[in-house]
Amino acid sequence: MPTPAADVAHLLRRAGFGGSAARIATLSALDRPALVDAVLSTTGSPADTAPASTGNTYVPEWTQTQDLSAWWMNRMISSPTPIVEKMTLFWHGHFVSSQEKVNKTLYMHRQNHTYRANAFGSFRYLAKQMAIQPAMLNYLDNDANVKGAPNQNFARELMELFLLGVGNYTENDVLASARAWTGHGINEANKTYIFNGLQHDYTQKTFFGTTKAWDGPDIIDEILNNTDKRVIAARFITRKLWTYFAYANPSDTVVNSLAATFWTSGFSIQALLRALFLRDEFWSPTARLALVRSPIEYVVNIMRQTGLTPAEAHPEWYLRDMGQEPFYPPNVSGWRPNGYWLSTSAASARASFAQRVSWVLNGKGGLNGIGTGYPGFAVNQALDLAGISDASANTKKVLLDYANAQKAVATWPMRTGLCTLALLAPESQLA
Amino acid sequence: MLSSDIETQAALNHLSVSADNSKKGLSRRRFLQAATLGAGLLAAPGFGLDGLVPSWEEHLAAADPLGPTEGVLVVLLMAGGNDALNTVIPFGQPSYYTKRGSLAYQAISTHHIATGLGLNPNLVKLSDRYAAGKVAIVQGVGVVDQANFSHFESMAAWMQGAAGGGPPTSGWLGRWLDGAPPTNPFAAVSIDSSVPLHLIGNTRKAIALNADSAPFGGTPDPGWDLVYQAISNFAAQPTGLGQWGDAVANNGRQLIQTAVQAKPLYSPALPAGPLVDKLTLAARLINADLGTRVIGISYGDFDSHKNQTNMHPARMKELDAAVEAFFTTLGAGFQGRTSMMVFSEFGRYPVRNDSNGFDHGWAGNAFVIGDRVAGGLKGQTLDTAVTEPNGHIRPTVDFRSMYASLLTDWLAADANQILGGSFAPVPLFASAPG
Repeated sequence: MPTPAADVAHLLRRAGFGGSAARIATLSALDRPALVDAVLSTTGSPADTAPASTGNTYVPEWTQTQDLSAWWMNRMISSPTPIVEKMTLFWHGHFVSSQEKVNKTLYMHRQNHTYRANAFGSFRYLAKQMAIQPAMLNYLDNDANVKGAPNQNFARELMELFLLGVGNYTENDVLASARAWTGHGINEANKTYIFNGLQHDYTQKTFFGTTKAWDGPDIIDEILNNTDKRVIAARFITRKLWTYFAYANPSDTVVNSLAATFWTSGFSIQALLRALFLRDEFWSPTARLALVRSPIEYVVNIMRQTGLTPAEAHPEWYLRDMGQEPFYPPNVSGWRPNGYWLSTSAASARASFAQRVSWVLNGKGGLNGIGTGYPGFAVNQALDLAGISDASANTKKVLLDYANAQKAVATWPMRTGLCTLALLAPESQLA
Repeated sequence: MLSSDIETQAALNHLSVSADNSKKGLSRRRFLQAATLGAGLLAAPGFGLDGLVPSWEEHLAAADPLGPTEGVLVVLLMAGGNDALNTVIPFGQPSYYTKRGSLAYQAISTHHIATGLGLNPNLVKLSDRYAAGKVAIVQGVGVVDQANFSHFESMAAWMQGAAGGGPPTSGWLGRWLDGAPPTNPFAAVSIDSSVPLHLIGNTRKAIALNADSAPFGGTPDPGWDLVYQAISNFAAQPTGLGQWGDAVANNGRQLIQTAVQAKPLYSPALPAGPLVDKLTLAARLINADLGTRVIGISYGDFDSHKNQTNMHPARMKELDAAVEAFFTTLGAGFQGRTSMMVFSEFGRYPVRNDSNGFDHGWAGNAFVIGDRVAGGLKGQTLDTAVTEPNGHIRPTVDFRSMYASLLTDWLAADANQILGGSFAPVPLFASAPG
């Protein structure tokens, strides 16, 4: 039985960056399970080749990162498998590293690639790969964690923010884990991960009550194997993924059920996501209006919708003030949903971006379809342009009142004005 | 870094208001002048925007100036865990040297403030202020109940400022804001792209102003004024799009309401730097007398697990320069009414690690700076000789005692109600604001 267009649109907004009317129509023919499978498909995901400047020591780091950000945004805009980019973004905000400290775009891309390549596979494998990425080794100081003088930063955040959450381990576990992770560092000359046995603490340590010669990767295995901790870990990740895709504060019922799927599948991310998108709660009216678009989602959606490229729209001028700059998470706990994005300064950045997009589109003749002589018609054209297919009465009223007031004064600002307003309407800012 | 590009771009499409607000001493009169000058331009023939002018006046009226005895509090968070022991240096303690080795400062390079105690060499101007009696140093402050070495948890405890189970949903200054006059949108301001927990209340939260660029919607422009009004109008009635639809709309309205008054704060261009720009903007905001009582700023990174020799001195230098810029930009009429609290979510471990840094610690030092402050040392100097618990230094001053004094003596608020309990205040002030 086919899926209603509104449902398809909802899934495409959450599991991607929105969908065109044509794509929605095509996918509507499928029933829900087939639809979810289609949207979760990673077949056809473009090859992950970094831009030319990445790792080029003759190019300043600042420029390299700008290029890499633009490259990633282009992927988000044009990839036929946007779910891959959305999951990469999720892992980037979860297993956090920031270029602010790492200061090597080469490492940031390699980390980005790791998240992309492992976004849907084994969570265990992803976590272990994450731990030995040079970007992470640098960001959480494990490259300085050596036998005799352990540095706890990575060991602590691994449990507190990455896998288990506060209160599910003791300080002694942190110390033991830090010792286990000694020696896992960076070969600065080759710019790769290296395990230095001379700096590794091979002695006995007690972690979660078991004493043995723990090594770093063993710690991850233990967290995901231990009967009690694996449930906690599964729920921790599940809750965060649900908040990212559906809504904040999910019930324990939802979280526990999905988490069980997660660990019984051997921590398969694919299995978890499939179950997540098939849950009735994801399709509920509550879920539809529950998320504010993060800045990256906001700018990518607009560029996809309007056909502007990052080189034309320059989202990188506004993303920091919106509160989310790719490769620069503000701290190790990443970003937060919803209310976190709503402040007057963030609103200012969104408005400035919407204004710029309108100017650029106008300059290209992209707003010529908005007939300024007929306000009612103009409003509909602007809403179409912004991809709003089912505008609320309030939004239509605001745009119409504006168009009428503007027409009474002068028509020349009406196109850019309506376009800006449509891009700032609540419908454009909700996920 | 790219904000000048944005401003150039934006300026090309705006009529510019006369640069009369370029002088340092921005006053409320100038604000009204600048805004009405803008309105005057719009009243020129051909631009019959009568509908717009009354709403601007309405926005202007909403910002009430400060009463003569109302205090202003600037709260500056050093994010990441500032190394208290290398900020207020106990050079008189032998264990300071045995535990810190080459990362310890020699007595002679510090600014002496008491026997065996000196300020970090880079805190030059702050030392002068201390000598003038304008700095209270609250030693050994922290979350006394229990050590928490998580940035996130510890910061949440400091910001929430109240006991209570479950994840915190409001912060102490936000709860203060809940009780402040509701018509003043500038009462609490976060200088950042988001509003941190301590400025979020149960019913209200601070507005945010970015130091990077002036808010959208503040410049009169015949091509855009009706758009600004329309953005505000999304919130004129319920959006029909649920809680978050309404929140988005309200946020947009608040932006437009505050943009006009905030815009003049950005001229002349703010000095460049990770903290000096924010603190300069804060001083200008206070000078503009829009009724701002609380300003929140956070700045970092102070998390010096490794390579502290480069990180920490740089932070101290930035801090010293920015605090000095704040107090020199602040107008004479506000010196007696403004205080600044500088704090961090925890201190750092006395013993160095082998990456030339320090892991997370427990007790820290906080500063309260201002003309009415009772300068000097409060609490007990951090004792590097302690061995229990696990070599950590336990705090002896509950940070809520500091808050109690700030709320009672400086903001004239009900500390017990806001903090959810009674905490013996640390004596921070020699006299009331005025």
